[in-house]
Amino acid sequence: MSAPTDLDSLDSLLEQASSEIAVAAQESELEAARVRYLGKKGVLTNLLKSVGSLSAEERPVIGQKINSAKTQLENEIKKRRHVLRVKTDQKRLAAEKIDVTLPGRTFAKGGLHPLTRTITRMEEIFSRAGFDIAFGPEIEDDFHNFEALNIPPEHPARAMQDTFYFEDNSLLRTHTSPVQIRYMKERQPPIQVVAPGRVYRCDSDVTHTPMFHQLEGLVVDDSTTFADLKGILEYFVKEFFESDLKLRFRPSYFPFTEPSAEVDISCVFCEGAGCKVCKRSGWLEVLGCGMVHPALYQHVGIDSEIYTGYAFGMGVERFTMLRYGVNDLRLFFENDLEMLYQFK
Amino acid sequence: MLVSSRWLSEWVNSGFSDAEIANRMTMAGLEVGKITPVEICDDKIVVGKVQEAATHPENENLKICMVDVGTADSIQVVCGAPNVSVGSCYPVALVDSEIDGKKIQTQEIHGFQSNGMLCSAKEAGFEEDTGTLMVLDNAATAGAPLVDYLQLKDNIFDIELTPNRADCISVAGVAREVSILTNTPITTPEIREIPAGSNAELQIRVESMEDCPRYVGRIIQNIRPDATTPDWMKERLRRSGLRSLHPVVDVTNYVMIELGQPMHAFDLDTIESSCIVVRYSKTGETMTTLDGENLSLVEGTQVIADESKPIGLAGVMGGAFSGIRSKTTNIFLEAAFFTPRAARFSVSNYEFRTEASHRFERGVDPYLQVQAMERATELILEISDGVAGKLQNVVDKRYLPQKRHCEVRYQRIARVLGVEIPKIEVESILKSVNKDVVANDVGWSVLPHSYRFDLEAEHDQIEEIARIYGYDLIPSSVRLGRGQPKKAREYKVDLKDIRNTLHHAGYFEAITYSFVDPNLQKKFVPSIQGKPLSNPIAENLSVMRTSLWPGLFHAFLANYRRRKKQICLYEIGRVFYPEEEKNMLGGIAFGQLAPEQWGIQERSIDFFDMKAHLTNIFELTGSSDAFEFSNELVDGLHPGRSACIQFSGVRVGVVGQLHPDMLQDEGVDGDVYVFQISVDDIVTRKNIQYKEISRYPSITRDLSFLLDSDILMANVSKSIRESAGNFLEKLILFDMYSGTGIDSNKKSVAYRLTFRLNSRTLTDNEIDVKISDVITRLNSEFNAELRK
Repeated sequence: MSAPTDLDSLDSLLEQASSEIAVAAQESELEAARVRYLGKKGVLTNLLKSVGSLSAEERPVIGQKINSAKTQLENEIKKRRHVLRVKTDQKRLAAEKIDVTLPGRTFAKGGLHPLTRTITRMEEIFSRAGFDIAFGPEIEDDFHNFEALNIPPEHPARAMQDTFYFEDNSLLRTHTSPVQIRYMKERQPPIQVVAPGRVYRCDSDVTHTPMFHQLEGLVVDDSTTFADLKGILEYFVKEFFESDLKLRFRPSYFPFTEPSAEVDISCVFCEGAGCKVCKRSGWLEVLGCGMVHPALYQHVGIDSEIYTGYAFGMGVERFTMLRYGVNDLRLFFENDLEMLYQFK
Repeated sequence: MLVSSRWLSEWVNSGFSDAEIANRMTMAGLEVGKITPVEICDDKIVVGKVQEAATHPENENLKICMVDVGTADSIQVVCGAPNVSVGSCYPVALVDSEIDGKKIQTQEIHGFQSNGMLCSAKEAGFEEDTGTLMVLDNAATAGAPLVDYLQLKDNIFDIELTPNRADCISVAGVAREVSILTNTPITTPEIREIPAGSNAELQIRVESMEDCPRYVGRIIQNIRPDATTPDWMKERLRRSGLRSLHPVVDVTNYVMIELGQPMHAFDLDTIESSCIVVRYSKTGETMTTLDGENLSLVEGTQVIADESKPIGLAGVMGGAFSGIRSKTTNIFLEAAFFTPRAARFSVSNYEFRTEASHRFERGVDPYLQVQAMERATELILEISDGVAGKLQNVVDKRYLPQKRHCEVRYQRIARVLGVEIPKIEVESILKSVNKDVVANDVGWSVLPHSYRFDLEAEHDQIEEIARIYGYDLIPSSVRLGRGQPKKAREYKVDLKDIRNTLHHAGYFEAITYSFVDPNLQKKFVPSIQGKPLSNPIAENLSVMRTSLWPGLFHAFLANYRRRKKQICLYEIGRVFYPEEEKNMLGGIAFGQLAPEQWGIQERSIDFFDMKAHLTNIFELTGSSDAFEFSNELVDGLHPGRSACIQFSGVRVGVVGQLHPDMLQDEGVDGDVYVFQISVDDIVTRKNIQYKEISRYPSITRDLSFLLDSDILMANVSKSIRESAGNFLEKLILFDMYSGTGIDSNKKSVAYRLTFRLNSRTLTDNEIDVKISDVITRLNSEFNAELRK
């Protein structure tokens, strides 16, 4: 193109370049337009080179004009490029859209058995109240399971139908109470401990399994009273069920405590109004307890004149069933994954 | 213990509702399980006395009866029952009465009008179904509604007595409690001394005095064999859960329920040589019980015998030979005190319990026998006539349980119960449960009643005080003890963390029985026999587990049969070796690694998945490098795919694939992996020591080798680490391949080595030297061929 040195033709050149920039639909078109006008051999670049051949009067006027045209076009290209970029970005992002409602990819997660879940919660609740946690052997001897617990020979509870025996006269513990004896033998008061674990009775039907779990509690101190026993169990039950349940202590009999009590809680299903589970009574029997029988202290070398204490025992299965609405004891030992899935 | 409310109210009439009485009993330790109303029949069922009974002219099975129902004119009733007889009384359902929702109406039966119906017990509303008419006493008042005549408006308390309250296994005993709990006086029925009508007596010889310190007996002769038990007594027995059998037997049962003294009646004519011997059985003796069971007597069983043979198990059950029959006319009555020890001996040896043994096992008042004998004699004479002989009372005071005074300290009460009960209230409670109460400096000296076997020491009395004062009145205190709480230990791995690690790998916790099938266990642990139970509930639960695998395998199979596609279970529990109990962690895994889903290539769990699960657990110790896996043959596992795990050189567990034979036997398709670790051996935890993070760049090199396929990669990695020295920060085996393109006895492996120092930037030159060291070492040690 010959060099238009008059201002008019410069104006029309500028106008044409502007419109080419404005209609460029892709960055490549825009780039072509830039090269055409502003590239090393572009129209405006060439024009600028030819300014030197103009007269001294024309030179600054035309030169300035060309320079400002160049700046204007550069700005227009920049703006247009931005517009085009935004458009392509939007298109690309739109194409990258995913279905967020698709399920997340996963490795399945497992979980605790409901009974362990309950034991863990029980341990935590008692730990917060300052209790130690202890364990004992599951194969026990007659002394720890019966005699030391004030269950004399020929007591009905010892009959063959209740206790699993071995040939050497050892037996499977029928309750967690022997841990009381073992714990007391090892130390002097103050004592404050819970002992969870498996226990065994030779019994199997709809409401009995030959193995089940208990949690035993024992507190011995120089000033422990029945009132303290009531207090700790009220604390525990309310924490466990996370509800302001009522407790009812009824006199009962256990060889290893005196006074003894059975504890009822207001029914967790009907809140005491009376339903099928509580047999319309509004109460559910949940645990046994009492003041440690002085006969026990004799076996472990604790002076019952100085120390008093309380003990309690509760069925883990019972609490689990009440807490989670499990309606069949036997489910706990079938290990059906359909049940375990529910306790993740 | 079933107690009729009406019967009870004759002893103690508190005026309280049955619900309130039940509540007070329950809250005092006599738990009333339920209150059952006695079945009530329609008011229009009345006592009817049959005056005439003519056989129907055409149907000999029918009788046309004229029945006195207390109205001016008798009514005509047609009856088909075989046992209708003139002069007898039966329940009559009058016209308009309802039986089972059906209205009785006047109707014509074979040409005769019937204005009502004579009823069987079932039709009258009782449970019993004999198919014949219910016979009432001849002396019953005709026309009286059955409801009134039999006093059917009554409730039955079902009391669940604790074994220490033997004193309450009678109406008298429950009445004593209710009297205390309602503050109402007790009315004891008058028990008269019955004068002997003859000198008849047996020679009574008690040889086992220490287990029978009192034996009371009496002969009654010439009783009427046709006597019947009166309706009122039948009803009371029925409401106490006993059936009417024979007037004499009924009386002994009645006295037992009323006073708590078990009694027995012998047919006098069966007793040889007019002699009763109470003794222990000898070797080889046998006896047939009233129930018809033939017993070989265990030596030392206390028996009642005549001169030659046992005729009863003392305090448990009589013998068949000497029992009361319908024709019996002469009887010998027994009321004895047998010790709980002797009764328990019999019960545990012969494994049956009776109403009598139930009471003797727990303790019968040793001072009750004479009263009971007088009471029974009176009732028998009243019902069956007869002539009473002398009351014989053989006692050896040396062996009678003696009650002793016991001290109750007032201050001790508050120390145990945590509440100050006013002295006057304590004293009143003590007086209500003791025979004698004397105040002294520190409190009281009390003497319990002879029937309170459970009251001996001070703590027994404190329990009585608490029980009667009311547990609900004892405040609850929130004061906690001062024990040594569980210690929070970081140097031990928390079981909770082990569990969580497994949960995140998809395992669910199982709890399986501690006793297992011996045959299954033998496949896993042939070397150690599980301790066998003497009295298992089933053969497949008969030995203690020595491994967690039998239980887990069983749980796996159950889920496999429920068509679960991913089964990962673990258990933490004891196993029982001959000399010790050990805490083990066991696991079983089968099926898909990840649940069925989109976007993930499906793959089955294999050995290396399980190894990773275990490695994650081992990392909790802070010394995962100290765990080593090495090939080992393990019982029950695939011989080429099983390993022993060591922690710092100590064997802690095993892992591997179940032997395909085990699965084939059970029809399982697919591989199953198991592990078992001694938990207590892997919980020592190294404390975390922070290491400076390097601020210098790292250099990474990849190396690929061809190796003989039987070379163990743990050895290769070890050699690389050694020759790369301390510049090496990380070593990853990132590829392993064998198959097409490679010799069949070779494998191709690829490692990525990352080098970095804390102190400075490493140079390429330094690394090149190390790499060349590695290559040389692997080449010489494993004949490894570098792949370019």
